[in-house]
Amino acid sequence: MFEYVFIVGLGAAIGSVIRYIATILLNRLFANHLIPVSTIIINVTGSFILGWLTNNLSNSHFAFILMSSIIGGYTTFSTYMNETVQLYRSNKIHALSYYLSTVVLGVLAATLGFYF
Amino acid sequence: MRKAIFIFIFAFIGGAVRGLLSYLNVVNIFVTIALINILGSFLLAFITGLSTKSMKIPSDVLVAISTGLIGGFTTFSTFSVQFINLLEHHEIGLAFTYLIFSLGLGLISAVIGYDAGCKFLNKKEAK
Repeated sequence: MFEYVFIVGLGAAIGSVIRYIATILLNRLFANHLIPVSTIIINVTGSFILGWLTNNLSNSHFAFILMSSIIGGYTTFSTYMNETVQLYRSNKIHALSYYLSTVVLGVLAATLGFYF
Repeated sequence: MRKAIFIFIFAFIGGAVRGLLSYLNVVNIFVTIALINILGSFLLAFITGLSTKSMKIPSDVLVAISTGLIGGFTTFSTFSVQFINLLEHHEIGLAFTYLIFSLGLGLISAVIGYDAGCKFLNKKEAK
């Protein structure tokens, strides 16, 4: 149990730092967009990679546990929800587009990764 | 660089708590991940509500808690892969129940969290 918890924590730490750096870089590319494109890209790419890992690596394998932990920390559900709420305060249509496009693209990416 | 180190440490804690809850897996893994995501959505929106107005949260602390602790605690990729895993096993009803439950309650908890964060501040100001 201790080992598993430690690896998930370590993976989340690595993944979250990658998310932090990716957000800074992506925000430069997608400045002034109507919806948070950076978070969409992070959650969609993470879903693709985790979909691939799930179908291509044994889930008891050390590499799978570490890599899926990194992806688990890289993607974020809380920011997705929080940004939807913040967007809703300024523009309801943008909030709805963001809310729906993230889940649709995320599930599509996970499916593509799974069968890739 | 200093922020990245704070995020690393706090995300380790957030991720380890998620790992522990997944390992203990009291009801089942779908309920566990959904509850983690719903709780995390509430907490992040609460912190956002707190920090929007006059409450000065130092940016290092804010990024450590929001990007690190809560960002590492919640996960979108596990949610989307669990959804297609259910579809793969022809559990279509369960898959959509999981999706709607996570997204619906996640959003509601973020709305309540943000509101609570803003009001928490007003109460303190009123004193």
